[in-house]
Amino acid sequence: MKNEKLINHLELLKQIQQVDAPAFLMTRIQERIVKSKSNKFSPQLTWVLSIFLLAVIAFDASLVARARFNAKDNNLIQEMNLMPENSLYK
Amino acid sequence: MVFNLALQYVQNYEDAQEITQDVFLTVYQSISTFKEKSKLSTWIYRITINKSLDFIKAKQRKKRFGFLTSYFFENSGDIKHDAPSFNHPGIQLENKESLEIIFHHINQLPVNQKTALILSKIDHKTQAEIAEIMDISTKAVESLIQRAKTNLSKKLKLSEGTKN
Repeated sequence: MKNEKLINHLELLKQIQQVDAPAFLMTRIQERIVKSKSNKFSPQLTWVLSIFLLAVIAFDASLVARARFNAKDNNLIQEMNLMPENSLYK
Repeated sequence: MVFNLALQYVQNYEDAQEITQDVFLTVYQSISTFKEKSKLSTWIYRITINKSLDFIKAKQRKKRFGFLTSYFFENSGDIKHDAPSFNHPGIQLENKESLEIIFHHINQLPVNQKTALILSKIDHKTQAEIAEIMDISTKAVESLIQRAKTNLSKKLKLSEGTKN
């Protein structure tokens, strides 16, 4: 009885008919492909931009590191009561 | 092939159109990565299945988010109740009500069971073809279909029990 019901339900699934896609679907797909082409960056441009970005980041990082290093040097001079200049008779 | 398979997954004419567009766009963009280990049709089948599952997930997420926004912001202008999403033109009118219930239960099955059942019972694929598409053995396909049938039968029985 239980199996019969399931078989009936599965038979209904088999009766589902194939449907034709609407005619305009092909045009829409073509449009999307063309759109995706125009939006795409060329690989060369992507490489150039990413290398430029990396160079900028590296330059920034070096500036920050240099500033910190100089600040450290000044602190050390002050801590040890050293003369920051060479002239003794000023 | 693509449109009909998507239609069996989402049971909505407009959604199936959207999935079909996504599938062909992906095929166009990734055709260079296609390794001829399987047939082109098998590869397209796999893309269609993945796109359909992604679409369903995204729709569920959107629904949940829509519910939350409408709960917190009463005047958000969002539609609180979705329009009926079951719109399958391949179904005859006299079977519509029964099939809507069956699809409701099929949609609750685990993804691989649902895929095996759709490919076997609606798309009329052989077990060998399903095995190739799902990249599993034919025995595994057989077991998936059997489990899908058992689960479906249980769910149908349960829903009939609650009705009576």
